[in-house]
Amino acid sequence: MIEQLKNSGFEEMTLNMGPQHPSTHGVLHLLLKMDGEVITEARPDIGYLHRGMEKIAEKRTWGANIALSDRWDYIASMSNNFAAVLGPEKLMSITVPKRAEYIRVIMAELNRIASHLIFFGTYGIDIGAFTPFFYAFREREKILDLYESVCGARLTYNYFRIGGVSADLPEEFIPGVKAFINYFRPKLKEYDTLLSTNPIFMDRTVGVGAITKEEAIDWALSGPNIRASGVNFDLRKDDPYSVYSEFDFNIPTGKNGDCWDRYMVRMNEMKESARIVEQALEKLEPGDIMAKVAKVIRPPAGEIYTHVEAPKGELGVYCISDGSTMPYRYKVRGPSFVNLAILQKMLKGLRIADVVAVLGSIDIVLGEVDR
Amino acid sequence: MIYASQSLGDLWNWLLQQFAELCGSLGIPEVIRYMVEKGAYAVGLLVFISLTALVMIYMERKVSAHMQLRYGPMWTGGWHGWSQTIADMIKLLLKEDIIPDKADRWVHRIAPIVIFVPSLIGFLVIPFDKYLIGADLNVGILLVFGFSSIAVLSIFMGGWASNNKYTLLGGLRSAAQMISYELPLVLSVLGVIMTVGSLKMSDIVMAQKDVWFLFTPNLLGFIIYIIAGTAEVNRTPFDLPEAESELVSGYNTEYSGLKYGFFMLSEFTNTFIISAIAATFFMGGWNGPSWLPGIVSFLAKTYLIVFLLMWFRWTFPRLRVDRLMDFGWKFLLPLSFFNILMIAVWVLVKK
Amino acid sequence: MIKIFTYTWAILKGMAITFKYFFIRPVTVQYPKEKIKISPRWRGTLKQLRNEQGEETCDGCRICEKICPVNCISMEVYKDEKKNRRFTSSYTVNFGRCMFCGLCVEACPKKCLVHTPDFEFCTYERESLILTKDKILR
Ligand code: SF4
Ligand code: SF4
Repeated sequence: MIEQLKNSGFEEMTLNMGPQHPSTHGVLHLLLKMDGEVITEARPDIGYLHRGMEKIAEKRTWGANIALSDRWDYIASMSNNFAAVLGPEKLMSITVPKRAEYIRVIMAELNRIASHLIFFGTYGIDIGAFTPFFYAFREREKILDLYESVCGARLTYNYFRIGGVSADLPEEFIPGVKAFINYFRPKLKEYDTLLSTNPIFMDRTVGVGAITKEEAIDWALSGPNIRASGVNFDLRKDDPYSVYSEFDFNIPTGKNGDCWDRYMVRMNEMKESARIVEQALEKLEPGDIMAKVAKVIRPPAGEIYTHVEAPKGELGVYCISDGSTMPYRYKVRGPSFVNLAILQKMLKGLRIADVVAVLGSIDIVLGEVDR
Repeated sequence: MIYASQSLGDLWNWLLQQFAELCGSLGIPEVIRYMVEKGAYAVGLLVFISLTALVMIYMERKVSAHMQLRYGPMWTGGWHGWSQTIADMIKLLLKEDIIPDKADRWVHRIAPIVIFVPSLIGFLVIPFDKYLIGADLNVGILLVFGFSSIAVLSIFMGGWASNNKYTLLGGLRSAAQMISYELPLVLSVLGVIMTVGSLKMSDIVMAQKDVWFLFTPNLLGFIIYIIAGTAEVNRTPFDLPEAESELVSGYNTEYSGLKYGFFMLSEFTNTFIISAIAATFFMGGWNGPSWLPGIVSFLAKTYLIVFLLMWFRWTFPRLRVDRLMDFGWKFLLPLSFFNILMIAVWVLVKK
Repeated sequence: MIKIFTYTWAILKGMAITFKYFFIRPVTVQYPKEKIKISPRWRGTLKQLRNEQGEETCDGCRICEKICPVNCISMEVYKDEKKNRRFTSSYTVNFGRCMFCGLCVEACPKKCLVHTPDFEFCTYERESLILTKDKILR
């Protein structure tokens, strides 16, 4: 039937979605071939935000690259900092003081909450509910306030240093975090009524854009996306870096790998992150925050791959040192970039309204995709 | 006499009488008198419509803002940014009127007018108060629905003529949506018409002197009406034609300046009409406590419905196109048939 | 049938939440009129401090210049034989490039370079973002 129609002069419609489109989360360009409202082919076209991060990194000192890392996934800078410091630390075999490790974990987990809050808000907007966005941002603002009191910035924190963190926690930080967690827990329930269990929302997301276990592994997904498909893969458990092995937390996983599962995994992850933060606060003891490290470091020649579980997935940094003050090669494995690839497979056969639902559920940040 | 009159409707009626006496004494022909009367009403209506649009846009802003923990406009004009909408209107007027290069210029230009005129006509038959109704036709409600179906045409015209894929999709969607939701909308009102036995607006209001239809078995009809009405005026959760996250801005993506203003204005006037009809049909129109002027209680009810629609909008996500159709045809339509059946039985039993 | 009721219930609950917030005081601030308190660690524009005698403390060690990842600090240094120390004859920070990373402040051995809590420094010309010594040394 469709073949007949095509032969008789009907044609597929090519729709350029983006780079200027309200819900492509930045400057993603999707080339959609459509048959009516049904998509027959989808091709993500990236590179509009390419800033040459990896090349820039080769001409900056190791320490300065932490400031650069803030700009990969700009809504989860702490995790980026984490990935950026682990490599040189391992190369130079620096032991980071315990206090600094806990502070790092607290920061990274709070950042995970903040990042997932943005996901929650923007996903609501993608689906058409505007109000949750503002509620999510209100909570995120509180986290940013805490960050501001520690490191003096709200978006590009540049807080981690090779060998520790740049500043000790101020007095009001610990009570502030505790108050935030107590405030935040009930809010999660509110989100559930507002969006997670809303029939319209479930109608839009349940069963849409499902990824099977095998597909998820084949396409090298990571983070909440692979966990939603039922693969229990989390670097915090599978390859514990820093002090993550000391904490007791669960890895939320989904079953069907559809949009709703991906959404729910993130919502549950926020709860777990809150638990980790609480435990870390308890374990926090006075002490040094910096190991003895020279101002300008020269890691011994060698290469290393370190990865962290960023809010979006496995954020890896592969760096080669030639013994100078700057890295010889600096390769970033951005989780958003890898996760985005599966989009072309998922979108086939869906409707245009599902494009935003699926795209939103992968939770990409274009700064990390293009770098 | 004026002081004794309690409401605007009575005042209007008194004025008409005075005018008729005057005409009679001066020997002015009936036709001219009639035209002057209706002309005055029309002018008054136009002023009212523009004011309503301003108030509603301001209200939408404030309601959405406060639901989202914001303040909304706070600066323009001093007190709580009351003149923000006026400023925006001026901005729209001053904007360049862009017609896309490959657009169908004629259709593109005419579409905003086509959408605006029916929504104006709808106002004619709305009974604001006892005597305050433009034309108390015996097919009153039919006129409103008949003309509001023209809006589909305009949205489709706008979507098609802009020569843009997003607007085209938006136009197609809205055509499908508005046609399929028109049915439950009309059928839900049918229950009330059956109860009253007349299509005339004033009759329907008079029938609710004692008890609003909201508190009779017509409640189901009311619920259907609100749902279908939301779909009819393209508001969330049924705002697919202008789904921002999918279709940029839907059928009016390529419009700017005054023409965009018309689309926006008609969205609000349509919302008002839908709410006004809900108030008339289910909430007793101008009936209310005796100390309250009829128009006040009518407007209060209307704005209550408007608030309800806004409340929907700022709470819910958006449905998907195919689900929307399913919902309309497979759920709402059978439900409204059932509603008619139920009302029929009820009317019979009451007799 | 049960489905309809659960759906309606879920929808009503959602509506209750937005209605609740309708009456809660908004959390936003009317920015230019009221400002939120910013933390003392806020990384705003840079300034150089003088010591108690009102003298310059910066001795032109050029560490901040070297560490800045985006090369926005530049200076000229001369040696004052009488006082037996170096001074900067010019010290310029280009805030058009600065990303407020704070590395320069952290590195300054004399602790004379600090951040101010100033975050409102928009201008109409790019030139005025290049702050010279007389503006930085405060
Ligand atoms: S804050 Fe960072 S970018 Fe700005 S001058 Fe200092 S080192 Fe350079
Ligand atoms: S690091 Fe401090 S002392 Fe050295 S040149 Fe910069 S401001 Fe002056």
